[in-house]
Amino acid sequence: MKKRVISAFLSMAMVASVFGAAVNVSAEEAHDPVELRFSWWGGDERHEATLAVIEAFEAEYPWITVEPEYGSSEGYREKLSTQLASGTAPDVVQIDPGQMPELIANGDYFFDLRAEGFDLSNFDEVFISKSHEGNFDGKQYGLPSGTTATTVLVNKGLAEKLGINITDEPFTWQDMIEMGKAVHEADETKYLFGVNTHYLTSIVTGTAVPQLTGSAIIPDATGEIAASTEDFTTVFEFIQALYDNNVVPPANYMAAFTGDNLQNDPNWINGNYVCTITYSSMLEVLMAAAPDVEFDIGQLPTWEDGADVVYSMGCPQLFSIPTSTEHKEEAMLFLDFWYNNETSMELQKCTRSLPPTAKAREICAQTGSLNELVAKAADVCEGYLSENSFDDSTTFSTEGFQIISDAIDGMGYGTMTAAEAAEYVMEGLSTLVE
Amino acid sequence: MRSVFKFFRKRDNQGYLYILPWIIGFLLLQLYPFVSSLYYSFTDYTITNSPSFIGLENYIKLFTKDREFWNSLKVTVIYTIYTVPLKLVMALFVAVFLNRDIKGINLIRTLYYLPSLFGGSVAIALLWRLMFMDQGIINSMLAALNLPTVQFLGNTKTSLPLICSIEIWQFGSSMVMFLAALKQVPMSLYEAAEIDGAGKITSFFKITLPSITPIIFFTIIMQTISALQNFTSASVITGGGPLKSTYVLGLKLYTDGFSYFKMGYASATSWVIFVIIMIVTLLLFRSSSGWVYYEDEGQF
Amino acid sequence: MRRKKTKRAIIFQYLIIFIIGAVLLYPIIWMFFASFKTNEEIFNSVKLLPSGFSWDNFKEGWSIAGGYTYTDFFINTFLLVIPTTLFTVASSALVAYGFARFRFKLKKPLFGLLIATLMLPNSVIIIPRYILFNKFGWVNTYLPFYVPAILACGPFFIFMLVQFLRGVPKELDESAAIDGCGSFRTLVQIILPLMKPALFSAGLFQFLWTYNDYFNPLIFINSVKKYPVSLALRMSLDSESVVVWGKIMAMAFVAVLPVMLLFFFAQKYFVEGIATTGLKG
Repeated sequence: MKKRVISAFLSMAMVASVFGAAVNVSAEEAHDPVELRFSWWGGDERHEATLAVIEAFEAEYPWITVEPEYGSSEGYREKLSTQLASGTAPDVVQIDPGQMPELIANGDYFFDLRAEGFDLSNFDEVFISKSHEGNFDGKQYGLPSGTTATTVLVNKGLAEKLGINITDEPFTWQDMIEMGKAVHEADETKYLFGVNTHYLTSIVTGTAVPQLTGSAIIPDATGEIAASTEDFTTVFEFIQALYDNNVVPPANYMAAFTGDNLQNDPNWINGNYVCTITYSSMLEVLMAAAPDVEFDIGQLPTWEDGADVVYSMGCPQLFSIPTSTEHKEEAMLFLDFWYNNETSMELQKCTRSLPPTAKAREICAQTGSLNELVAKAADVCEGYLSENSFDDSTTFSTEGFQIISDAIDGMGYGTMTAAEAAEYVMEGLSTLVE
Repeated sequence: MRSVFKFFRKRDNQGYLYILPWIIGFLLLQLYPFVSSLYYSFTDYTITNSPSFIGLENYIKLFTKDREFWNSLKVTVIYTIYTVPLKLVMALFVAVFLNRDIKGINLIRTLYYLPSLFGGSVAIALLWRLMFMDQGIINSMLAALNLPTVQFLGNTKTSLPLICSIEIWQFGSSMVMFLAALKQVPMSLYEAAEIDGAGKITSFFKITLPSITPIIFFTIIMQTISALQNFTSASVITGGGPLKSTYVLGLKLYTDGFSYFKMGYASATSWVIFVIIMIVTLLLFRSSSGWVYYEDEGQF
Repeated sequence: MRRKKTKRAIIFQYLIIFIIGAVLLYPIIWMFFASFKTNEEIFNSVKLLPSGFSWDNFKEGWSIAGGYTYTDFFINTFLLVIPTTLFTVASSALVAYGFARFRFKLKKPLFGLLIATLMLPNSVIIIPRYILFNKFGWVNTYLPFYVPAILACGPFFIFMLVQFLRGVPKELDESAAIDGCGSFRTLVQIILPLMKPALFSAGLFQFLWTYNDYFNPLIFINSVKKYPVSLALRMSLDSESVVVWGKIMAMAFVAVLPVMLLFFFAQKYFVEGIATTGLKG
């Protein structure tokens, strides 16, 4: 019996070493079986792709089993916080980048992958050095799962019909007011810009203010508010104008489609919006919701006389290894396989938006899993990238986001003027910074 | 040992034995979380750090600096005042109505109970949104009847009644309890009343209603407690909006705790809710001697 | 005994039932038909009936990624819910009996404590609770549901049964005691049978709540293979994917069916005229 067990191990080891240099199993070493827990959220497509990668990993490292813990985004955050609070988090976790700043506030929950010697050669160094992509003060607490670009998604047919060209011609935020006015006057059922409060906060305010001031609102480097009340007033007056001129649908209409729910908006489904601004990770969802509409990618708006472009490539999720894990080595092996193994890249396809490494993107383009428009969105966004860092994890932390969001709602419902909204935001952000 | 036996010989003391499971359960499984949350309320616990004592700071901040708190309190109280009585009346009315021998009564009762079976289902929440959307079915019907259409979801005045409506719609649980209670009323009482010449309505008010007051009381207490803590419907249908018009306390504390990771602060909020509920409950208990009829003649 | 109902009264009666029922059930009927519709149809048209009757949503909704199906989830749900319900009813009945029928020294304060445990919102005790259950090694099992049920940690049910019990005449207990019945025999032979409607209410509610409970299973259960139906239902609700609402409606419907049937058949336990036979004059 013993002889059989040993020979079984030996043959496994030999088979494994035949299959790749990535496997550090020497013929004499036998590994104790290890079970890794890996949690993520997503839809069916992503689950299947992820499970396929897990299978491939398990084949490559037969002594490691990965126990998948997956579900939808519903309740994921609550569960993760409960797990982290009690030291029972899985060995590899998927995290919402918006949550990271709050989670690493005391720095102890995740391993610094750089310090652990993780192989980052496939990544674009600039991309992963940003706080949104997991880099806090030089420590890589997480790695991006994909790349998202800020995108203007255009209803081609409607734009052409109304004589609006934002796909080839660059335009400014201010241009949108005149354009939007004309659109709505021509046809009451149509709007230029289909956005809800969520995106007015994250993308419109999040881009316009830095474009105006040339700096992030609360740069990570300084931790102090770099925008003045006047700056906010200026941008908020612009947003007020969007409402007043019917460039965007009324706030009380959009109340039914808050957050990431534009795909459920009948106006969107019926192609009544000329365009919207969103993240490339949402493109496929949005396009699938309006199958009768022909889409194209637009240019990205800049602020008139403002700072040179302020767009950056973001990521939809991060992967991290909690320090509570008992299997750090194996967890590292898994992440390494996940990011650097070509089979893994192929199997992942684009279920977490554009892949985070150039190599993976190439593979996806070759195997045809990369949606044409999503690729175009990334290309367009790359043309608008900032050289400077506009890292700002405070303003767009959950709480900061809510402050700005409430102010914009106030304007949309007419309970606040632009100036009052600006003051509200300054007050809120100041308390946050304390 | 002897004295233990003697102690439990006295019938009344045997009560301790019967409630033993609960005592063990409470000490083992409920006391610790209960006390922990009180402790957290005096700390700056943010889930990502170890809690450090900050005294009454959370409470002071809650009452003086937090504008959301007073709004949420108001919203929650209004929500409770709408839903509890309305749900009660609906449940009672329907239970009494269905407490009879009609063909197909089993199916009818099941169908009436159906809404409650879905609980805080997300499917139902979406449904409500779809029905009350600007182009939804409700507005279409209003338009068909030449009535003005209402922006239920987007209007700060109608958003709260909307959330209340889904709660009241699910009155089935109370209805079931009333049905059970109605069945407990002895037939002999009705018979005696009929012999004395009492009509149906008199019977109802003099026999039925008084007999089920313990359950009515129970329903009021439980519904009030649950309404003051509720947040699922608000969270899923309107997200607390628009403009925080449906931002009930339960939702605020959930957000503070799990979205902003301010667990210490959320714990303080929950203890404030606790105290409020306790006061309300105590008042209700006090009043109960005036109108609740117990078979054990109030000798609890 | 009963006045003969006139035909008009009967028709009127059914009319009221129908109207109330229609208003109540309209949302659910809509939901049922929505499970045959595509997303576009759901969000765009106000019509009740779908344009086609395909069972796709049901078929596709039944299995999820990773090879698990609702068969697994239903089995899990029953494994989770049935013991919890039975334990709850049994222990709550015992404890309620203790509170309602005995007058011991610490009764009032203990009962007050019981009610107090209802008043603290769940979201705030969940983290200490989780830490506690984790210490016991109960995470990713159904024990966080079974054990509290055994230990009567359902103050709602205890309180409810107490109230029901207070509507049962004490004379019954007393006459049983005179006949030489101990407290336990009184409970089993006299009180419990009289409490059947109440016990079934309690059981039904606990069944329903545990069945629909999303938050507690979410926190305590990690492996997909142990997911109950309530977790599986929300799996299709990812904010980053195309949500097929028809599928969600379909599965929500399928999920509600067992409880509906349970109630339909359990009704007779409410109806069984508990005409308290012991009460003579």
